[in-house]
Amino acid sequence: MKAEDLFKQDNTLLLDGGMGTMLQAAGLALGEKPEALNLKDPALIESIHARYAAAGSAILNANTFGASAHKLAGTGYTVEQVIAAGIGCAKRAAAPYGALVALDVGPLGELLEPSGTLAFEDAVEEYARIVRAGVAAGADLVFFETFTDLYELKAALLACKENCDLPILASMSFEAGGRTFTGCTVESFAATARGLGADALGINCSLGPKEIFPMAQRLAAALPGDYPVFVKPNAGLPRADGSGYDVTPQLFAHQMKPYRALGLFAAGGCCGTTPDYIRLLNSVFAGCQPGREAHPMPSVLCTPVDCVTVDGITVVGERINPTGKKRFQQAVREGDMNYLLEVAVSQAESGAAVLDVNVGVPGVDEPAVMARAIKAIQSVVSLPLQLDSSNPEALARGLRVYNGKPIVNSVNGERAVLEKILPLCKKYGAAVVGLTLDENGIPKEAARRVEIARRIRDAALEAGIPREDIYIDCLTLTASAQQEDVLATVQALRECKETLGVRTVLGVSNISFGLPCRPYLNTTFLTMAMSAGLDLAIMNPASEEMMAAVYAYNVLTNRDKQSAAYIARYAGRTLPQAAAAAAPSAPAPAEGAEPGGIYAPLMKAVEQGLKGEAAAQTRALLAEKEPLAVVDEALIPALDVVGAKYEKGTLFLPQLLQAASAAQSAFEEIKTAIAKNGAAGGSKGRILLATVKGDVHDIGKNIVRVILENYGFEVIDLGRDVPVEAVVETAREKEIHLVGLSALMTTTLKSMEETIAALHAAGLDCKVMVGGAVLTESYAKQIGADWYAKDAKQSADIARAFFGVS
Amino acid sequence: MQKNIPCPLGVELPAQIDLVEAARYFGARGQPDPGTLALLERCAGPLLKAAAPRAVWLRAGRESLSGLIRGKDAEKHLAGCGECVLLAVTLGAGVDEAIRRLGVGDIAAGVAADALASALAEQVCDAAEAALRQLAAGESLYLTGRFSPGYGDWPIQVQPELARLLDTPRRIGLCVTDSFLMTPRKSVTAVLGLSEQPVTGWRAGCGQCALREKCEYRKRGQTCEG
Repeated sequence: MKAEDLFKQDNTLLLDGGMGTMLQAAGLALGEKPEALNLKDPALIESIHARYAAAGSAILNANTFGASAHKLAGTGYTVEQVIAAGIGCAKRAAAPYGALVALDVGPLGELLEPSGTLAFEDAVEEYARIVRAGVAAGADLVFFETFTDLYELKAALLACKENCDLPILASMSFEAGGRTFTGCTVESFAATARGLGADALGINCSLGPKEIFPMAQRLAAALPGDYPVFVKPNAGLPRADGSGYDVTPQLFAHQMKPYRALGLFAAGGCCGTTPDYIRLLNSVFAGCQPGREAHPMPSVLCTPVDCVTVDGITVVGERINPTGKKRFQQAVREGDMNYLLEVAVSQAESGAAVLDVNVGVPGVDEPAVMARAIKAIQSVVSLPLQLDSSNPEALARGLRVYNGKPIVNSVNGERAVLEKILPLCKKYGAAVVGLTLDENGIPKEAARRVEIARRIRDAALEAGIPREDIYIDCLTLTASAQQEDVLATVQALRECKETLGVRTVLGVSNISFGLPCRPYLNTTFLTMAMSAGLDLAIMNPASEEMMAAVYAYNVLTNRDKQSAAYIARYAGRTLPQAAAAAAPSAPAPAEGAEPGGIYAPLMKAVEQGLKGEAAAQTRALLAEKEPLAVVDEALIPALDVVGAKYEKGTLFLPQLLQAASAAQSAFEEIKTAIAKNGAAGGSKGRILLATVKGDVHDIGKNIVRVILENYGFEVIDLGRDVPVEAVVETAREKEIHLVGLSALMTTTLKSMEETIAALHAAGLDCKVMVGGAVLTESYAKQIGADWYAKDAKQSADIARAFFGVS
Repeated sequence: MQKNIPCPLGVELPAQIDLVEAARYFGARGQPDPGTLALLERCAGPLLKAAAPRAVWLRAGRESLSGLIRGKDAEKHLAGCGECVLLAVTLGAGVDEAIRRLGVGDIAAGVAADALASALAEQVCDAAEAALRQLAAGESLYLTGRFSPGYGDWPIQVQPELARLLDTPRRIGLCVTDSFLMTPRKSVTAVLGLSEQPVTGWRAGCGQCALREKCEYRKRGQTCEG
């Protein structure tokens, strides 16, 4: 077979079986790296390949599964040596049979961020090196297999597409529950890997043919009928005592028979299978033609663990957006991701299915902030994201680091915009929103908006974006300004949906700008739009009126069968009473003679660790008092009381932290008030915090950040696993004079020492305090720190003394 | 028990997290107060939902592990055992995400979640050890308790080798970073001695512990063993 004919076969191809299994049978020593044998014992490797080729395998996977720099460490061989030798062994065995040789590529053996410390671009670079070596050695195709982390597979696919034109087969391993180790679903794998340009997708390892079959069915259903699908199951399940697998070659062949119905492009085996297993597959798949009947493709947006099928009304949270929100703008300017994360988590808890992410604040480096925001949000929320920007560079950066299949908001009818942004959507496999406007603005008439929509759709199809990934936004106009045009939006939406075969989207809340009681208008407009066929509603999920309209609509249109979702959300709830009863949200601050006077209730709430109460009391106080007065007169004294009790040993860490959490919520109210008034932040000093390079344990550092913020300091938190240069650069740029570093492990203290040395070497006028479980006073001195802080309370004391503040 | 081949071990998710143990990791002394208990209860649900415990073990002769078993404490622990069982357990990356999420805007919940996850990891390890003990008993063999890198003078620098022998990235999704940290974070590796005679192993005690100078338990005349 020629490589270019790989996908033109009229019969299911056979892949090979286990390599490790064959090597173990040949006496592979414990701990020996199989890939090293490509150089140490090439005859053995070649003979195993030859046995598979003789058994009927049309594609031989070279013995390069673990040929990454990380996994080869200690063998004395380079990636290039191992791959060249491995491909060579397979090619020699393949030649007499006309089989193709695949560069076989597995996971790198390191976990990617955010769970691990391997940066996404570093993973792309490692895979690029592997792929280039495979191409140089003459591989016919690239076979990514046994992946469990979709993010790592994305890095591998990008590296492959950016470095070669070889066909790509990609396969993940799923557990019995239908998810990979990292929680990735079959559908998320299908949507993401297909979008990133894999030519065939499959499932391998972990389970036997019987267990994999239902997942293979799901995989086939999630892909177009003509898209190639393959499987490589294990020889059943491992026996509990470790004595091998429980399925014989005959049983394996029997269990593979149902796969004929899936029109597989290829089939083979993984762990525990041998040439005997493959040989019996010849008759199983004889006369089996690849491909399935065409079927309508669902519109899917996803992260690894959360695959959202857009089939009817779907709520997109609109709150990660700086427009008209001073506190948000301030957070973006300061690079304060914690604020964005709070907004993200609260929208997820309100029931949003997708989150819109817009970080376009004038004067900030939007591409950099977009990438950072996407990573940060994906580290805490699993909802799919809508990347909202008109800046192509910001979209490109965000799309690259996004884990899963996102949607881009937006393009419009302008040719220049389409030409810049559609190729990005294609490359990264994203869905796209097209706004029905162009160089001439927003047409008043529905028909002209539909015309623009048609142009956008055709351009997207031409760029290679599947129809199900095209969404049209007919643009909500403000009823207070363009009342006569509101209905045109609804008409245009209906027509786009019916005649163009696209999905639709609207920013619903725009309708009510400038009018009172906005939820009334928003909800009615939303209902009109849903009735016309709205798919994505960009709105505030905290608006109960609007969410209720969505749930009710799904009941009344017979989508929410037996009203199950509606009942789950609303059973047992009582409707809020009319306006009068809804009024006072916070108790009035108590005047009186008790110590602390007007501030006493807030102090008490903080001391007792009551979050909601502390926020409510702060809101009430802010009606009368200056924000900074609340900090100095209530928050700091309350924290001092708690801190003193902690030092005396009359209360312990849990209570101290609950007080800190309560103060945190009070502080959020204060920051919002300060941002709204445009007053100076009143920071008592700026401090940089970081958990050092190589360390992912950042809980201690997070405690310190909250306590320092509660004492009125401005904290620039660089997060965990922070490179030395990032600490030095930020200290220089932001004119930092006090740096706090944390490290948990003995093995990462070295990074701490290097960071301190680099700060000194850079000649910056800054002092360093350090903390962490294994640190001691004397060790801190030894590595050049100015202070050792034994706990968060002490770090606050150091900061207060350093800046000379109370 | 097959030798020299990493083998998965079925471990079930406990129905509940041991809140008393979690409160101890959280820093409470004695009986946790109602506020702390309520916080732990609130965070336990999402953590249990996110946890996907997995384990893998490998039986091997002492002679083939000479590069792995170093130091006198591990040696003492394995006294009288010609063979070992290596064990790795992880709660999965979902737990790390749940801890991060619970900590957003609420540092107390973040730390409580971390403590809960540590308690859960310990429970899963106990279950895994019990399952191994049962496998061993089936062949009239005995196991010592668990001894982990970082105990006594057995350095965490052996983690990459342990992970490699157990093939943990592929078997249970556990990787070791260049600075010897395990990711996902809530993971445990250990060695247990395997013998034909009943064995108990040996606890390293505080003598070599990296935390001995500042350990709060030790200052109070207690140990971290509870």
